[in-house]
Amino acid sequence: MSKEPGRMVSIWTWSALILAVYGALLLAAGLLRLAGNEAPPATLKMTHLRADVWWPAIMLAVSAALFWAGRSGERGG
Amino acid sequence: MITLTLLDWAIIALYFVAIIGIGLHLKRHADSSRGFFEGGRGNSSWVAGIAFLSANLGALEILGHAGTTLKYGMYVSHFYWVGAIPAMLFLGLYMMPFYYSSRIHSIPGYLNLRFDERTRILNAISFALMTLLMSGINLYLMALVFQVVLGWDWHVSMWVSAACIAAYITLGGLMSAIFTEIVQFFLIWAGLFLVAILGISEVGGIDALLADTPRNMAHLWATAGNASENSMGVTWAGIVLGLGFVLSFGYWTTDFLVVQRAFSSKDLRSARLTPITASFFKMLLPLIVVGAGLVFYRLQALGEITLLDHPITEKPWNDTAIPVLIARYYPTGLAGLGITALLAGFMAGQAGNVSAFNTVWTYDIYKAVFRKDASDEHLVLVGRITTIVGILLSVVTAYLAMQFDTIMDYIQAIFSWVNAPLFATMLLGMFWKRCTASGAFWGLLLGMGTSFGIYLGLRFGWFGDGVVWFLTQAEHPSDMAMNLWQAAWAWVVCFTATVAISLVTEPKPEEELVGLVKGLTPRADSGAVPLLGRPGFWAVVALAALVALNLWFW
Repeated sequence: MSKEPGRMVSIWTWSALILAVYGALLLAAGLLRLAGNEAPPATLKMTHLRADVWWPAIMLAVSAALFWAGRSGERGG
Repeated sequence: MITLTLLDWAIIALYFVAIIGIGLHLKRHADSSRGFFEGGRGNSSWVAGIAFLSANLGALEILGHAGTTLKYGMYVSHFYWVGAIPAMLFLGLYMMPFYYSSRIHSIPGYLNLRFDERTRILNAISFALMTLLMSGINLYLMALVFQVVLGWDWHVSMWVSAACIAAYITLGGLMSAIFTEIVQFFLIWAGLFLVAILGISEVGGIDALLADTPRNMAHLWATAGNASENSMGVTWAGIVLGLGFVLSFGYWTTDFLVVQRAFSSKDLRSARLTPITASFFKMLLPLIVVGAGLVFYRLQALGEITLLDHPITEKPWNDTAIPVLIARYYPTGLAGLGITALLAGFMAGQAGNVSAFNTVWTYDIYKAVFRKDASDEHLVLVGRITTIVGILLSVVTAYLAMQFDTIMDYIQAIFSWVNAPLFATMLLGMFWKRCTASGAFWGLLLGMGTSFGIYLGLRFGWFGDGVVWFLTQAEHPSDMAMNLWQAAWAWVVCFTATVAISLVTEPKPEEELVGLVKGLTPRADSGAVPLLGRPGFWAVVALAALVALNLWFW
């Protein structure tokens, strides 16, 4: 994340960065579970929907949109 | 109880790193009073709008309303729709021009310009007390939820989060609060919306969910003709007048905690668009809150799921509905995200209270009473010290809440004591130039006293059956119904007293009211702005969406 001295980094960029880091971590964890084919704990429900894979992917897509908003000059403050 | 893994802990730790990083980054932009207290007055309506909504969207509200849904069902949606949207649109269209154009720092500041110092101080003190109480109870509930759900030590989670909030608000002031509120907004959707999606999928979709919900909880208006036919025990008149008009307008148009976000906008048009933008996001929140609550209700009826017990009352605790659903649906990693969303919600709610408190204390109490000639640098220093003192007082309040558990019963009533009568004062002040300073002060005092008196009378059984019926239109009103009606009475008394006293006292000269009262203030922007940039256009769209939602879930 680069910024000019004295300039405020857009809030959209901050939000995008946080969502991107979270999305990447969760997607990696979800894909590892998928590849490992490990059985989920019996207490967990609805695991067949694989939300641990597609939800982080959606988060990454939203973070990309927020990065774009941050770059397009929207001010964060 | 949820067991966290290393990945979950990493996700939670990253959140703390991010918000402290935001505070450090913003410090250099918050060295003037304009930067520290007003967020620089340079935000777009998107930034200010999301912050406006998020300031109200603490985890207390999310967990609390999801839990309340187990009791009142779809009726909780009224708090997000008729109990919020019309007031937010009214603020943007009609009240914001007076607020923004008068260049005030706070709502008490407006009262000082429009009326006098007495009304300002009365509102500043009541707002400061309300904010500290809410802040402390918020902190207390956060620690309690994490103790029950995660087994975290009560004292550690409270002090760590309080220290973190103190750090980033002291560094970056209002802008820090706004930034973290926006981060919180995205985290809440990322961390909690999935709970509702998976839950609704499990019970067979929205139609199946509503079909399996008892009739007295499954509708918005179809059972509102008679108080005995719905779970809230309230008629449509109570909903429309008590919630939709008095409580809602009282909160959304006069509570400085939310209105302060609009003051950070870059121009009047953005300020007017701020609550209107927020209204669209507000309308979507029942997807998470009421959706999850109804899913829990259904699964509970099927014997699939149970609430966790409250550690003090040892009875099932409705506020644990969402954390229990997180444990049901979220694997490692997503569980950490869900907990982070709750943590972010609690902390942003807390930060909102603290940033509003430091502004009102610094400008409307300290500068107004103790140091009228304070310099800009001095005010920023006072603001920073006030932030730390405010956080410490919140912690003290949280410990008091722990000792006196019944203090939490007062949460719902606090808004009706402070905000409901204030709305009558603001309405008359902005739209009636004959309204006088004495009328406003005594009307506000009487309205607040009325609300408090009715609250005590109803809760402690001081009134006979006839009086209870007269006051609430029900024989056995629920707590929520009592709150709605005491707010309505407070508004009526304040309005009537203010008008009556104003008619026999001397108003301010008109030249002193320019920019503060309708009819003496130039009209807001319109002409050259394209249709898609006009607040009026988006307000009509929001209103149409509100009507559609109410018809859908009638």
